[in-house]
Amino acid sequence: MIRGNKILGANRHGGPNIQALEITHTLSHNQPSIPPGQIPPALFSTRVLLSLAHTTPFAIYKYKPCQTLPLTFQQLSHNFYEKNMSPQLPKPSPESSSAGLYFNDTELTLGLPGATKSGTKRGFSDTVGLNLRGPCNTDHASNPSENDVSGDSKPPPAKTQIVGWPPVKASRKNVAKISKYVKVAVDGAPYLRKVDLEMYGSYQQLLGSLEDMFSCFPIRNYLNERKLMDPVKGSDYMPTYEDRDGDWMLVGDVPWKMFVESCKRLRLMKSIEAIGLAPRESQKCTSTSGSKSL
Amino acid sequence: MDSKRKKDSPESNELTRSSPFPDEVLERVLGLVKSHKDRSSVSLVCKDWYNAERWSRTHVFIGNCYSVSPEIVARRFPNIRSVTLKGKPRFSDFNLVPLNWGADIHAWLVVFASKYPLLEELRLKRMTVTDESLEFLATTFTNFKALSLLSCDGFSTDGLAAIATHCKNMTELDIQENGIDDLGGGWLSCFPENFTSLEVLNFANLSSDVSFDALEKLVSRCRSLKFLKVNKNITLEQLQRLLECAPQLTELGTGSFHQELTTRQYAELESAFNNCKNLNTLSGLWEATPLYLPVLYPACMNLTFLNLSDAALQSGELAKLLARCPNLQRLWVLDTVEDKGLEAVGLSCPLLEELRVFPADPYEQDVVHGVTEMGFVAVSYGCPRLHYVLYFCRQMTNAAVATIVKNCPDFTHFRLCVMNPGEPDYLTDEPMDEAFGAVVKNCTKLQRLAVSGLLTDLTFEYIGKYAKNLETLSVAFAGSSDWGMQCVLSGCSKLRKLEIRDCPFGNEALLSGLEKYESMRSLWMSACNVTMNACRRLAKQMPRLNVEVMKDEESDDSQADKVYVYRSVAGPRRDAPPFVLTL
Repeated sequence: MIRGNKILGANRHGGPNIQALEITHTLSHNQPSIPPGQIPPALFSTRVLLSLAHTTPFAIYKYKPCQTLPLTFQQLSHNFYEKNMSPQLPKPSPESSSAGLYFNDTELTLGLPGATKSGTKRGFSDTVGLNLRGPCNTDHASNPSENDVSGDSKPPPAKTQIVGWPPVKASRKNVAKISKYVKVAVDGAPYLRKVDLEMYGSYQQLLGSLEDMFSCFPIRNYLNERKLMDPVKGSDYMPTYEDRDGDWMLVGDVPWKMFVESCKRLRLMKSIEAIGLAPRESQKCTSTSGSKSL
Repeated sequence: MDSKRKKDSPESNELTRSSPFPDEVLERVLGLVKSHKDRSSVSLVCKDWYNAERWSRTHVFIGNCYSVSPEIVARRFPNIRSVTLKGKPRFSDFNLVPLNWGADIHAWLVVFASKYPLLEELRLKRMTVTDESLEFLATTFTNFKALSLLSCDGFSTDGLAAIATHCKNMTELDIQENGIDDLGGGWLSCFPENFTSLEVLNFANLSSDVSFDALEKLVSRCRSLKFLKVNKNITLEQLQRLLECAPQLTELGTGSFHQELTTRQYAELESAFNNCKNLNTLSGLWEATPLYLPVLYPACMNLTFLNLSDAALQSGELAKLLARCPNLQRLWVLDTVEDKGLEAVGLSCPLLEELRVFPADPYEQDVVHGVTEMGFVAVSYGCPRLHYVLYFCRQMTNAAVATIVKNCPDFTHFRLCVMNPGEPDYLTDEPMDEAFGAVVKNCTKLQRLAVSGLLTDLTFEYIGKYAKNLETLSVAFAGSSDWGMQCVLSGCSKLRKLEIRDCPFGNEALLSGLEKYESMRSLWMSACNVTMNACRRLAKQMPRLNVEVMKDEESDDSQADKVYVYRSVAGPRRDAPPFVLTL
């Protein structure tokens, strides 16, 4: 909840039209909003929203409690500009819709400072650092990979890409295989695997490969079966997948290419759970995959 | 018809003639000398031979389009029918040269239009070619037969349409790896109905659909068609029909190798391959999967060149395929085949001379697969004739390279790319100096070398000391000081092309090669420690060199970020864009 908005200032000096809003943030749903500076820093966190006038999303800068408040607007907008206009900004997570501005993080929630939301992989204090010229800044120093452009023979940090390296021709780059890695979960296995669906040409190949990967989990390959095993008795696993609509489907119904396109993840489901999904004997498998014998 | 030449003064011919043969005989004999290097040597023997050579030369090779002007070429060689031109520095392939740098063919075409109206062949590499130029070419040169464009840019499929429409005697249209505007496949339909002379057609690099009907008809009526490389929109079914029309093909580039076929279609395709008795080169094979590779088996026995660099095969599939290719001499693969696949190469292809392993995911940092030193070693054991290698890997050891060159001492081209810059020997953590030391010590015929990994000046000491036949050297993220580069410049007497990026070589190194550069085609240095002043000094002291600098955007005024030095008889460029500073 936003309480006590206060526009600290707007950038009139040319450059992006930045407005800074100061927001106070409640610590728990019981406490009323408390203006900054009146409570011990350790219990206080302020989120400041900065926006560019012509774009809607906001970015949130989270202050650590030891930082001095309030900031001057100058410092605020300068750092915002640097962070969001610099081409070396770390790439936002795919869920954010606007380059450089962490839209996800505009959701104001109640919680203690430092509490990470479920689902986000990165605590954003890692991704956005305010370089305030103060003593407590050291752990807010910007990500070294942003500033380190390789020029020496020292190996660059892992994530930066060097222009023209490795020396592979552009035409070859385009031709390099598009890979579609999807997670494969097996009920009861301690960890997941990933497979590249583009590596296979048919359901047969995929299932064969999955069998190798999860050799202790026999996978039901109903495409080839003549007799239907009793799903309750067998300890078999049914291959299922989540499609783009979020539905869980049985592997094998649609043409292979369509499957590759729509599959988001695979799950080898214990057959016991799969009652109801199991195909009837009368259902013929459609001639859509390379399972047609050659 | 050769243009009539003016006789030199008759006295000098009779009195100072060094050979008893009349000029016509000399010309006829020298006309049989094909290699341009040999021809250059011939022309230096004496004046008679110089003249005989220049009148009899029909093909000219120009390795750097700015080293000479079209007027000078035309003045020296009056009877040229075929021209090969190379333009931009090689690092332009990797985006190190900005767009609009130059190397435009048009000025050349204008001169050729008046001096070589009977021009037949044009082969261009890394040149800028516009649609206007292609149209000009097509409409001006009535005898034009062969066009080959490799790594060129600036044109679109409209230009190709002009060629197809106007060139009545076309035998070769070879469009490879170019940055072109693909506006559609209609160009193919521009070949006239009565056009039958095509022998080479390569449009593998183009992405839009051509009319299959037009293609099929074209292939059917061009009975001399030998090389056909289609793009990936051509399906297996269509491929089968093309093969039926043209069983005489010697080089084939397939389209997409992945389509659901019926049993009958599969059999027909296999039979079509069986009928291609003359196939020695195979490429394309996009999206090839184990399911359809077996259709190739009947054609594999005679294959000498197999280009699988567009097909992400696994080791098993490759092994099965190679087991049927005992006569293979050249193999290009992706590193998806992994070491196990390369072991199969060593087992199945004893006649192998060239191997290129390309990375499927060159920019993926977290990839663990690919090939390692083990695969390379395995190939070296099985293929003692190996002399050309291009190998992209993520780990290598000094010991492995030493073993490799012991097994294969005949390397002429050794291009090793360890993809992480500055990567040491992963077992010993030492620099890779000894690896390349072994290469240059063992491989006395080495002409081309590309180094990588963690390297100190010692590598370059070795190169300077042992690589006496080295002509081309590529260096990146290597070396410790100027001394390294100095060793190379002073030791490698046959060095022609030196390309360096991101190395700690500076002014002292640059200036140590003053006299050397005139005997070389070119030098490229980017992201090194060279200053503008040093470049100016070089330019001042060596007026027959063109010293060109391109600065990066945020760089210091004194730094020369990209330096390109090359010898030229044409003087400084007159078409340089503003970002190319000629000193």
